[in-house]
Amino acid sequence: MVLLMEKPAISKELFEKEALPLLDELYASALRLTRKKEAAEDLISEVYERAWKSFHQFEPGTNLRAWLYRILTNTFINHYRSKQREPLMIELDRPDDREDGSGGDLYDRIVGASPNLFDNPDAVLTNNILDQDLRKAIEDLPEDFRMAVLLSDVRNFSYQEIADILSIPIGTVRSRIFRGRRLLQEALWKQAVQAGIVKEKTSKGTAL
Amino acid sequence: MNCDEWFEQLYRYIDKDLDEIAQKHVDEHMKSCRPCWDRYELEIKLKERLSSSCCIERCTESFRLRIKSIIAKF
Repeated sequence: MVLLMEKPAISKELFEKEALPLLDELYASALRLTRKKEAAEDLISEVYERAWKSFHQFEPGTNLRAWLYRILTNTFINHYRSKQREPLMIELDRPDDREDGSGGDLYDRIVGASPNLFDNPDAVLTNNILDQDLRKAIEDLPEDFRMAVLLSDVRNFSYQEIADILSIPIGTVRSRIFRGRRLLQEALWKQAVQAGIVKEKTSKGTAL
Repeated sequence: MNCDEWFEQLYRYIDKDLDEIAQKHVDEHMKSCRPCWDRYELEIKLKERLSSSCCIERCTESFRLRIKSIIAKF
């Protein structure tokens, strides 16, 4: 018979010392996933509870931050993600994407914009796109792409770490990041067009 | 390496997912191709902005206490 031993106090101290400083960034990440303050708080409460309960399984010296993100994304997938299954395959990267001028990434769109307002293509990012626009663009991504982009671009995890966190093959990480970034850039561009910052060229290449 | 081949490698280059030789090819191409260099700069800038846009948010003090009490409870 195995007796459940109470965890030693030193372990709790260690957990608080290591995991509490990550609270703000985990909370901000949960906000991107759930999009709502209350849901993010509930999600993070559950994450800390689960993390503390399984802290004895955590191997000291390994990456606690990645371990917490694994619990975060797992909990989100199991309890919080929308019930409706989102289509995983999104039509992107049509073969003619870069030739017909109707698609392409943010760079293509900025360079092709009319009027050409920008000395440097990245000036639109510096001058016209606000933090809240960027956060919204992340939140609007389908969940699988959102998690990959969040872990990579916002939290700077490597592809291998993301593969471990999400329990998916590294090839899937690569394709989700590629497609996720394309979708995000498309969304940012649409926001800029709607805000009247830029006008899109028509398919014939004349200004609207 | 042409521009399309370069573009296919771009994200893996930025995310340090390429081996040394492939990385060198990407490097060499964009050093001699202005549009690709600009595209690279834009991607880097966007990555930085995405990261900084999410690092100013803080949870509330009452929520921090709630988390502390969860840990204290067990």
